[in-house]
Amino acid sequence: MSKQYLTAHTVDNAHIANIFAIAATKTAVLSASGSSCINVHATNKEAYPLVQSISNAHKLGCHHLAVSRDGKVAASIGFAGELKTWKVSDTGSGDWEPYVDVANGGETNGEAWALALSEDGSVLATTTHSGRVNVWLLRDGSSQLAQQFEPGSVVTSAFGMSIDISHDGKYTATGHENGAVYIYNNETGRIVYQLPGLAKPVRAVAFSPAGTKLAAAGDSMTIELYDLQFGEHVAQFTGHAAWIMSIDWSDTGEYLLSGAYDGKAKVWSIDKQACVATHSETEQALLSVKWLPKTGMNEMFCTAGANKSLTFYREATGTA
Amino acid sequence: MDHRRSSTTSSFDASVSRHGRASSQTLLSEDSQALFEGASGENAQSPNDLGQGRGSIIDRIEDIVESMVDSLSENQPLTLPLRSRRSGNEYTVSFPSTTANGVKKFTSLLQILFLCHEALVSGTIITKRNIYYQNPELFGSQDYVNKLVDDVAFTLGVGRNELNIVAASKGLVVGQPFGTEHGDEVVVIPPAEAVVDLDLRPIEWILIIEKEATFRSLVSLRYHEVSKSGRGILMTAKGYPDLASRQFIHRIHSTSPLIPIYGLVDFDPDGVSILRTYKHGSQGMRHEERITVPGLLWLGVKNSDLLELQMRLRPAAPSAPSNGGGESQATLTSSQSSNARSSDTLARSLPNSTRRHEAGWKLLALSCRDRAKAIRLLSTLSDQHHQDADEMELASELQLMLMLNMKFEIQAVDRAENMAYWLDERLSRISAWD
Repeated sequence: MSKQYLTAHTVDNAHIANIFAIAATKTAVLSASGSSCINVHATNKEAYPLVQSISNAHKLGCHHLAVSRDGKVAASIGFAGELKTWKVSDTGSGDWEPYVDVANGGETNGEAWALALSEDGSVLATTTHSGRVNVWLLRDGSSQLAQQFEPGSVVTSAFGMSIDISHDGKYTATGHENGAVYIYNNETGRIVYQLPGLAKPVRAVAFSPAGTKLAAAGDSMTIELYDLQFGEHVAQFTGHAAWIMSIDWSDTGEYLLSGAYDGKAKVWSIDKQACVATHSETEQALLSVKWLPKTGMNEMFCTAGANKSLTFYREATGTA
Repeated sequence: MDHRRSSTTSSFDASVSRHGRASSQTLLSEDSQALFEGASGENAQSPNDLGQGRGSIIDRIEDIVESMVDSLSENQPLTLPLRSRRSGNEYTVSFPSTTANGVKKFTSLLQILFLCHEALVSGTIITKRNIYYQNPELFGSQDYVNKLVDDVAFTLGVGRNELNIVAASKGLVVGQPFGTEHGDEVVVIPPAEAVVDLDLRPIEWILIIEKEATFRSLVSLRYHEVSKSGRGILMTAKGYPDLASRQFIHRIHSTSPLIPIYGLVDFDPDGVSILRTYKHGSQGMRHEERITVPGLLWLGVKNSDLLELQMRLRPAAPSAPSNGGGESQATLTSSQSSNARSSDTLARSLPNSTRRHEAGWKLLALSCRDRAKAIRLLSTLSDQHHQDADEMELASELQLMLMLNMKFEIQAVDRAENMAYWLDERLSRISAWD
């Protein structure tokens, strides 16, 4: 059985350059692109208006952006390798403003790559070119480097392409250039699992909301599903015909959303182990896809990438 | 003298043969390129440590000139030191001189030192032919220039290449205006001054190719004669272009501005940088205006080609996915799909019909050096006050390159027919937009 999604709205040319990353709060979608600004579009208003543009956020453009699930803290990494954090203003304006400085862990420029934030924004994890993972605690207006993980055997080109933090903040998962997927315990700093490899590289990893599963995807054009109780590979989703650039779990953990280099977005049912919807507004690469946190009746998601636009989809139901 | 190349540690680089960038001349100019990208030692592999030899030669030339300025202020004769290659003894060439030959020698030497200095400071390569054409009336003959250049190198105790002077252009060109009656003869790029004698009327397009191997493959197919886009000129400067190649293509463009000029470079930071060198010269080199081709069109390889490659590489999917269907299946894994990064591996597993039109690409992860270089280039582009559409495209492709962490090399060695097919298709697509 397939599901129906309708294009709710498209914000054309939301950026003047490729959109590399989007992140969703309950009221807005933040987007980062090859231009220097981070844009904020309201999702609780008609026509998804631009409500804030953080200019000069990243001079050479921004490739990764994440927001905490509580919608209060964001972090971004620019092409020059600079890591910045943002928070919602205390003034009640709803605007984003600079948050704490994060020392770049002694990394040289250009090394911080992917990033993830915990649910309340207190834990920030980044991957690096060398494969190392840095975990910071952000609190009381300062940052502290809490952990540094190194993949067990440092092999060539273990570039950390993707990262996620489990909702409870206990675990960090990383996907690497060489196809490796690691899961670390944030408290002990130990590797919990080294999961059987994918065709390299792994461009996206994501914990299920309950933290029981991990999805990983990339140039294999497949999504691999792992059970985290025993670290077993439990399923493979095939159907994409291009590199998978981004994946995201729905709030309930029932569905996975994926976006690929050929512009196609797919929704997968975990129960049915099948693709239930395929959409494409563009033949240009999708670089980031995200479910919007559920606020109303219908599920919604947003896609962005090389067509420089934000496309919002809404689930079509009989009662809508 | 190329420390950087030998210190490139990535195992990828080590395992990759770099067609067309292997000659020492190429390396020289590649280093030069890095020098004027404003690389001022921001990473350990920065080419600055290479600059020492060059820097000391620059210093010595400047010392010579300074001592002449001192002589001028003291109302003394001007002298240039010169070491005889036969005896090894140093003597001086003075101005004023009692003989016309002496004056000529002094002026010629000064001019050569000036051109060397300029080439060294800007990090460009000049040919002996370039020097001669700077002032043919003064030098009188090419031979005279050759001898003096070698004397200057000997006097400074360095090889001629270290003065950034090469014997001739390293570039190659083929096409009807250059060769025999069928235009099949590959020739060294002639001096720009010779362009006036060329009959460019039958030429519909010009293709500048980064790699010599690709150039040779296309020559062997006689692509310049048999292209569906008509008769053309193929040219390569074997990597970063030398001054002579750039002057040449600039002259062709100013002679026949209506002939479109295309660039075919790798999808990697060097490819983008080579393209920029042709289009805009080197950063901060205003006097290079007459050796650029701003209208050069980037034919490829770009990220859009990457998508087409993926389309061909996809696992044997029975049909194209359609909207909303449940055609995609989840299956328990028994075998992993093959490594998508190695196009060769996958291509072999594909049926012949699928890979027929594959032009011969090779996908590789970026090395640390690649990433650093891409970031430097992005930074250079963002510092420009007026980014035109072309520059924005360059920045966009560089960002995608970094995002994907992939480079994409042209390997036409054994798939030349496919390359020709790809070029036919690309050239017709571009001209359709005009």
